[in-house]
Amino acid sequence: MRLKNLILGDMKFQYKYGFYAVYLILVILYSCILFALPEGWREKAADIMILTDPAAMGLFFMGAILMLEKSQRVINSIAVSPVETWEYIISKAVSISIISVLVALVLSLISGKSNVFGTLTGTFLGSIIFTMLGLWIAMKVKTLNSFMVCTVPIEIIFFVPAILYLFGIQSKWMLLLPACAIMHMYMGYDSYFFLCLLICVIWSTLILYLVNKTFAKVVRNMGGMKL
Amino acid sequence: MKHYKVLYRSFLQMLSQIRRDPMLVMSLIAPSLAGALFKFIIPALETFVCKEFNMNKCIQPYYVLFDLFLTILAPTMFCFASAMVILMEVDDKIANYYFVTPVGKQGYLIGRLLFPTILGGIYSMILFPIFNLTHPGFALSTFYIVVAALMSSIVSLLVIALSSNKVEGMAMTKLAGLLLIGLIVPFFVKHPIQYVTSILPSFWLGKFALDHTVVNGLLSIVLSFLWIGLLAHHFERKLVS
Repeated sequence: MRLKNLILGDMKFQYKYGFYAVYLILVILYSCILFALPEGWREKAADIMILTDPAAMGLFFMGAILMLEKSQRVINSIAVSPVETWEYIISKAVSISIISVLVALVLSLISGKSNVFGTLTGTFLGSIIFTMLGLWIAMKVKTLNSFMVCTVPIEIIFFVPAILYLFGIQSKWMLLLPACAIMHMYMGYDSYFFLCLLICVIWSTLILYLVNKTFAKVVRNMGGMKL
Repeated sequence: MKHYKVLYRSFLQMLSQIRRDPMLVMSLIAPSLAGALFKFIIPALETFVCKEFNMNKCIQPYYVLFDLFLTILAPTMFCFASAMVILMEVDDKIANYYFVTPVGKQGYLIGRLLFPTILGGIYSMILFPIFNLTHPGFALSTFYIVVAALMSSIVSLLVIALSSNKVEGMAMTKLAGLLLIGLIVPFFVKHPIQYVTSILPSFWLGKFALDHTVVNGLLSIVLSFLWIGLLAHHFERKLVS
């Protein structure tokens, strides 16, 4: 119940700050681009669009969200409330994933993708991973500029192998990388689908553990003074 | 003279803020890397694609588009870094304190927006002759760079003027990039529907790059100043309220 309320609260916050409006405009633009492309290219283009934007939106926005909550002392309030740190993290990740999945659904339908379920599952898990990574970076840095710079290596590490995988430069070992596993889920349903799902779930759990540990430390050290 | 010193100090203060992050280094390195990529990879790709599809020209007609992006990259990076600083300062209410110092409201805007735009423009002037693909000559290059610098200040003004906090600012950053989409439209959309984007200065710059018509060039400058004026006015009013 508490988690549900947290997720709903975050969704209201994201609606208020224009996330849904921004993505509505972006979906229209992406759809125009997809329609302008030759039919044979649409599916691959949609895969790249979905992975690099809606799935990775948490990585882009988490820095600003956490910094704003810090300056408005929301984190302080959470620290003294019964809310657990992992609930806060899950709430952020799930609320952002909902937008990601909605955008991915529209783009998948427009591009005529055959594997919509795989795309949505991959986008949901990818968005969870990217949002938690964004949260982790946001806890480590002090300014928006340093947040933006720190996200660049993560984007390169995730996107480059995934795009190479999409264009046929593949090895089974690459599926151990979460972005390649997500891309595999986008590309179609086969015997590796559940393995990719499992890999993403394991990565999500590991990252949740890491972020929770860091966030618990941030919350513990909040307020008071050091002698 | 004293006033200029104050503005200069305000700008230096902002530079030192960016320097603490790796953002300044990033703003210097990223445009050079992109320039090198355009200069060496794109022609090689052109040769490969033409051979593969047995065509005379594939990417070459769009070389000027790469040049336009090259001119806009450096000022946009500088203006973006500065917009992020302004977002933080407005959110943390530091900006208000600047207004009661000798820097003042206009000085704050000049130090935070005009100087980075000029710096980005100068950096673009250095990079463009090295990495351009179409060799447009000094006058045309300067024109591209001036309009590109004006457009990058529109991008940062849009972010800071239409957002009331960091989160809205980031959402606006996503949309602000769309201002540059006008550059591509005249190259790929030949139908009159292309004029849907005619409100963007980038559209007229793209058209000018295609046909070199003076009117298109003038329109890109006039529209840029109009956008800047409106957004700066909106930002000032927002700060007062």
